[in-house]
Amino acid sequence: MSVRLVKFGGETLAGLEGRLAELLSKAAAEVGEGRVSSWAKALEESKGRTEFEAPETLVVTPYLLDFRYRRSTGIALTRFLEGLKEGKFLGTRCSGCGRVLIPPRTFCEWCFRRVDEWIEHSGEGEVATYSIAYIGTNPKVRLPKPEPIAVIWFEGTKVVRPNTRTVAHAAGILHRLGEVEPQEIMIGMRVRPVWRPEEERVGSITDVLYFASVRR
Amino acid sequence: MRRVAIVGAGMTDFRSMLPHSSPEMIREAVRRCLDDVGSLSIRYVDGVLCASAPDAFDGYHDKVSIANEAACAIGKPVTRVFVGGGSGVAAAVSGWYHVASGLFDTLLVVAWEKMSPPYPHAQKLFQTIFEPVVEQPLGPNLIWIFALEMRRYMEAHNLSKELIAEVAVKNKANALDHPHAQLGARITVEDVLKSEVMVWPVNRLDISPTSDGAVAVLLASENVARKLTDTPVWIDGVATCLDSQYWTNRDLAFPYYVYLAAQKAYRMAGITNPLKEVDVWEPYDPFTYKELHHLDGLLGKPGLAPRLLKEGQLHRDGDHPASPSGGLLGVGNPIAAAGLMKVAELYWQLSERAGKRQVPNAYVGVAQAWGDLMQVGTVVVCRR
Repeated sequence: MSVRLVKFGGETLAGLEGRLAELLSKAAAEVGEGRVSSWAKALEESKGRTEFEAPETLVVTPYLLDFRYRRSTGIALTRFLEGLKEGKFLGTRCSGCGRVLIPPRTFCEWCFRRVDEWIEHSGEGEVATYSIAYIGTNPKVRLPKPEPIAVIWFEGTKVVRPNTRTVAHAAGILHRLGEVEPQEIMIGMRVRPVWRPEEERVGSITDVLYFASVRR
Repeated sequence: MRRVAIVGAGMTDFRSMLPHSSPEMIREAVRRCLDDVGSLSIRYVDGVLCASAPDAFDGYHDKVSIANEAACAIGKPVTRVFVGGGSGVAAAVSGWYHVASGLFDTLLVVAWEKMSPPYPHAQKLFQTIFEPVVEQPLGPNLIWIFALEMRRYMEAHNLSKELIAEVAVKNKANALDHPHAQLGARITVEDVLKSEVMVWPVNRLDISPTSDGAVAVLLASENVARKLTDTPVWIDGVATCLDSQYWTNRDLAFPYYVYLAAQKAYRMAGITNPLKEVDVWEPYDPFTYKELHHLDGLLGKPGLAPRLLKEGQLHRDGDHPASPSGGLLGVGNPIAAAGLMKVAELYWQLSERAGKRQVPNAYVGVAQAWGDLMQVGTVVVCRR
């Protein structure tokens, strides 16, 4: 069996902006090393095991997509982000079911009515659930230090299903926990947001550094 | 509405880095499915229904267009369904709509996935599943949400990681008897607990692999089914149910959407006591705890599945066998194909063709898949 990697020729890269051309040749080089050998190994193993015909030669072609996005955040989330910049959690309240909606929306998905009452929340709440992340967005990269993450449910927003005692709704967000050792974290633990200094806030969810335990 | 039967099924091996192209893989599954129905000519296939998860895996826009020829869809109506991980079972549900409506006498349902091409890892593409404004800036990984859900589930029923790990031990052992399985193995609870921690409480062996593979199932209306086979397996109940995308606003301890879908499917199939009446379960098990979590929803009793597991009743020789195929943890998880593999397994079990995996006296089976952002439940009830 032979293995062949189709490489980008000079003409493929001509006319691309410098950075993209660089990324593309880097991608080709990466495929050349680790990836092709694992495909080849898999092919070798599959012969005899796979009942259907397998290719004789392995040809692997590299391909790179490079996209960036700009999003307009819409009515509700724009206000939410502006609130974060001021150190506030803003939400909406539905006049039909009375639920507090954080992240806010301009309509209620239960009542399907327009929601335009805005409320301000301190951001204090409880840990609904948590875990300790050893990896972030790239699954191949271990985080230097495991990070506790959690779903925070904001105080006074829970709607409980009376028959099963499960929570039907709570205003809540995903975030990190800080100032706490992993073994001290418990579900139901009371937490408060820790904000970045005002001058560093940009109107992003990361204006909250993390949630810390409220010690009594 | 007409009664609908599964009259044939076929699948490829589930493998990481299967060296075939997507069309080659799909055509192989379709060929095996049609061979299963006495080498049926594609002339008798009235329409095709496709399911495959994100286009990003193939890096090819609307990847169904590369599958048309291989799925024998040329000159026929083609539909694609997509509800993330739930797509495989949703395809069987939509297939049922097509045939039960009277518009199609036969319908080929095809599901596939090729997850190997993207690198360093297909899983990285899942970052785009998160809400872009308030969640993506935190640098999340798909496994985060499962770890959060698993922890909440453990808290609700006071479950240990040791007990949950038994699902991996059971399913990987079941997969040893599956001719197309990727990860059949004899492992111990210890192995699962000692495997690398990804996002605590989820370890590497709690997770199903990335896979390439394809599955095809042929559906037929009652009259046609009786002509094509002596062992039709009837789809007697179908349902899907969606919950809110705002997953941080929900209680993750119980999959309400799975429960609601299951109840609807049972009503259609005339099942009043699922625990007594269902002989084979194929709940969706991309993670160890998910099998129990989903089975709780299917049984309508929060916390019951872990008790059944503890008593050994979910094993293939137990009273309530779950994932006798080996499930996603053992057979592999080519996303949409994995869901349809569960439906195919019901066909093999209920027509007594499951070979070494056969559950004795299997008359009624339930398959379920789950997808989008932890929010959709798709359920089929089959009967021989």
